[in-house]
Amino acid sequence: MTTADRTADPIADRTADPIAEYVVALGRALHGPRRTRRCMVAEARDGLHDAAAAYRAGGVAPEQAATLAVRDFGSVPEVAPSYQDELTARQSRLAALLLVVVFPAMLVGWDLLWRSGIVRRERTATPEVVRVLAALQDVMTVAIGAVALALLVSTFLRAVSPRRLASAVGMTGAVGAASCGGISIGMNLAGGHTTVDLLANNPAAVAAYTGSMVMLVLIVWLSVRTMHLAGASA
Amino acid sequence: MRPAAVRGHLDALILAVLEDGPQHGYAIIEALQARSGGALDLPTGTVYPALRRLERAALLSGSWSSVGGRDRRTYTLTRAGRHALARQRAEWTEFTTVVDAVLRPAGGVS
Repeated sequence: MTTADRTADPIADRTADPIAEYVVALGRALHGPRRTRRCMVAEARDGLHDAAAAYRAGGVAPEQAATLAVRDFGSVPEVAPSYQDELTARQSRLAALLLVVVFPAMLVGWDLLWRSGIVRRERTATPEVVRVLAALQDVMTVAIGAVALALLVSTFLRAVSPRRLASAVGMTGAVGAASCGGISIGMNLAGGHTTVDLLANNPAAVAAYTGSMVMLVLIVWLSVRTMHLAGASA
Repeated sequence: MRPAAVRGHLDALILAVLEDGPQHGYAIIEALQARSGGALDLPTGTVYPALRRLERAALLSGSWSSVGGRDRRTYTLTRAGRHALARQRAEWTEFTTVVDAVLRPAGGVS
């Protein structure tokens, strides 16, 4: 439904309309992905208008019909939790999907970068610490990707609590970003001047470092939002 | 009927209503009320999140389409939804058969 359709609706335009008031209150009570939230609220508004129309068709006065439709719908505190659960689940699915894609993509991306020779270390000898950290990084990335995949699949299960799901996805993202980010910093510090040389001499390395940092920031942001929704969906 | 008693079965009831073809939210609510002879008295606002829950589980697919000159979100039963409905019907029949057998006054049994 377009905005023009909604504003063209004579019932929605009336300021003291119980349906318009209800829809605004419902929208305010809900938190989560904007598109889904708007879609849900628009659907509720349509449903209320349909219910009011049915009352009007039965001979009820328009004002009274709208009031009855709102009453039948249930109060905002009564219905908002079920709506919020679905928004929370939606957010969890989007966040889990991002984790499933980004972590393996970073692993493969960096691997290709080293193997292709586009990015080359000037010093041949890689410190042992860096080697160990790199292996740890790979293990962590695969583990986070696997957990995220399991969580993504569980967003399809109705029996799983959306609140717990959101906490789990948020935590997985936060732990993944913190550990992979931390290990990366460790590797670069242990590598000494290698990183500086690499960044100074190789535009591809600058792009790879920037890309990875942007991705980690995005993951942290989305994870925090998802955990926040777990609180909203009590 | 008490809303709490219905709530646990709402998903199955919605799947059953959609078995005959795609419908939008309010039409589903009307069908639920009509098929229950008006005995299903739950807040209509609980049906819409239930539809989203079923859509999330891939038992329904929802999309906006024009119905009677207005845009409405219409829901269609998926293959997985049909399987889930068949399974829940079988479980319900088994459940009622067992409970019925126990609840029936003992004297009347042959």
